[in-house]
Amino acid sequence: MVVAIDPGHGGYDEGIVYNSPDGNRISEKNVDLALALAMAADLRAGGAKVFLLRQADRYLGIYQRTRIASARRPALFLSVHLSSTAAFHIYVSLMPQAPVPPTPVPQAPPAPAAGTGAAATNTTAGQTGSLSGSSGQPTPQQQALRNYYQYRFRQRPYLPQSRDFASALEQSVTQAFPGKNVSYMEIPLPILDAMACPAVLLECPGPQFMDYTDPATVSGIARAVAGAIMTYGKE
Amino acid sequence: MKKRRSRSRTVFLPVLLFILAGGLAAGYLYLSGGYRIARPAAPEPQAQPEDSSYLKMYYPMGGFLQTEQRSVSPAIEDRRDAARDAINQYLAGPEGMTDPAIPSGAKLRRLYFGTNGVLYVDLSQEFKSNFHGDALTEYLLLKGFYESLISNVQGITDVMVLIDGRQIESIGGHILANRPLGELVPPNAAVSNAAIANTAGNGQ
Ligand SMILES: [Zn+2]
Repeated sequence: MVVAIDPGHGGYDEGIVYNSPDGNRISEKNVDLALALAMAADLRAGGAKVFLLRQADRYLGIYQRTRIASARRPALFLSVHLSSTAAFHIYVSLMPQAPVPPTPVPQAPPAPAAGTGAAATNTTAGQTGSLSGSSGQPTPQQQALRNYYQYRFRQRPYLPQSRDFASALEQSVTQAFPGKNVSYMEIPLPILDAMACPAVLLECPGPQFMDYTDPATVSGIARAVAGAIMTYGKE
Repeated sequence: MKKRRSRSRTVFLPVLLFILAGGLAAGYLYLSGGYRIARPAAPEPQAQPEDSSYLKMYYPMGGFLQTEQRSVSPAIEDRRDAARDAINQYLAGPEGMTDPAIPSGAKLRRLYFGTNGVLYVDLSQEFKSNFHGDALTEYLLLKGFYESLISNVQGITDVMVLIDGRQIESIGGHILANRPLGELVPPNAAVSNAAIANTAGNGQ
């Protein structure tokens, strides 16, 4: 079983930033990576194969993450972030019941000189085969559209399993941190929408509510998450 | 002289009858309570000065979208004014909020009405660089922006955010912003009640 772990943010994208009273600047991107590395260590110790989307402080866009993770065909996907509150947040993707009809997409930001309005193409998702510029290379906007529809609904058949995985995670975290609230939410999250496997995004309490400079905090969360993954994997 | 007297009498009589009839009617209405119906019951809360208009805004606060009515002056003349005012009010953040989810320092650069009903809103880079929230906050930031514009600007069907004139993949790394927002923050995307209650209840 390959478990893909996605440490959130990275590079110039710091995520949540907290300046502690003792002068420490804590960036979410670093905490996310520390948590993901600790989870990976625990999972590997338990015999799982783990793939980390980043192992250093570097920027990855949402589509880049989607492509990298999908190429490894993981059995389970977990994105690791911090929340803005004192609670753990567990997210599962929210998908429309039927595919949404394709909407016209702007080919390029409108020209300021136009004054009255912006031009928009009639390009739709059903025409992805013709999405290329005059040179044969897709423009960045066309590539974005192609990416969007290529991955938009892959999560749908896995939603029940994702909810089960979220439930296992919720139980394990609640047991490990009884003083903390654990919230379950379903919102459209593109990184989860794109995964063809059970997929969850976990946000641990914000850095103003938990001391991530304490190694015990990081290892405690990692143990709880790895435990949930191992239990879910066995089931 | 005689002629003048008879003319003044013909004018005086109908006036007297009119005053008497008016007095009787007023007396009847007063005694029967009719005036109470005719009178406004209380000061009109919606009454607004002629030189101002109201906007219904949706702000992300504590895991929810909260609505706020904002007065803008001078009165909104057209949809471009409405769009500009709604965007500026949104960027200013909710009333009296010390830690708003709205990124500080963001400014409206330009706006365009697309031929496809999409309102293109070009914001300064602070809208992206000063956002440091979690996934729910980012979702509500975009959802609130979309709802605030759709509710106040006539004739638009969708809203697309540009940063410094460019399409961007995401504001905060969780939610896409590279397409019109209507599809990215759909109306059926509700956070579960339990989740909201928990999130709102444990901010400390
Ligand atoms: Zn994050």
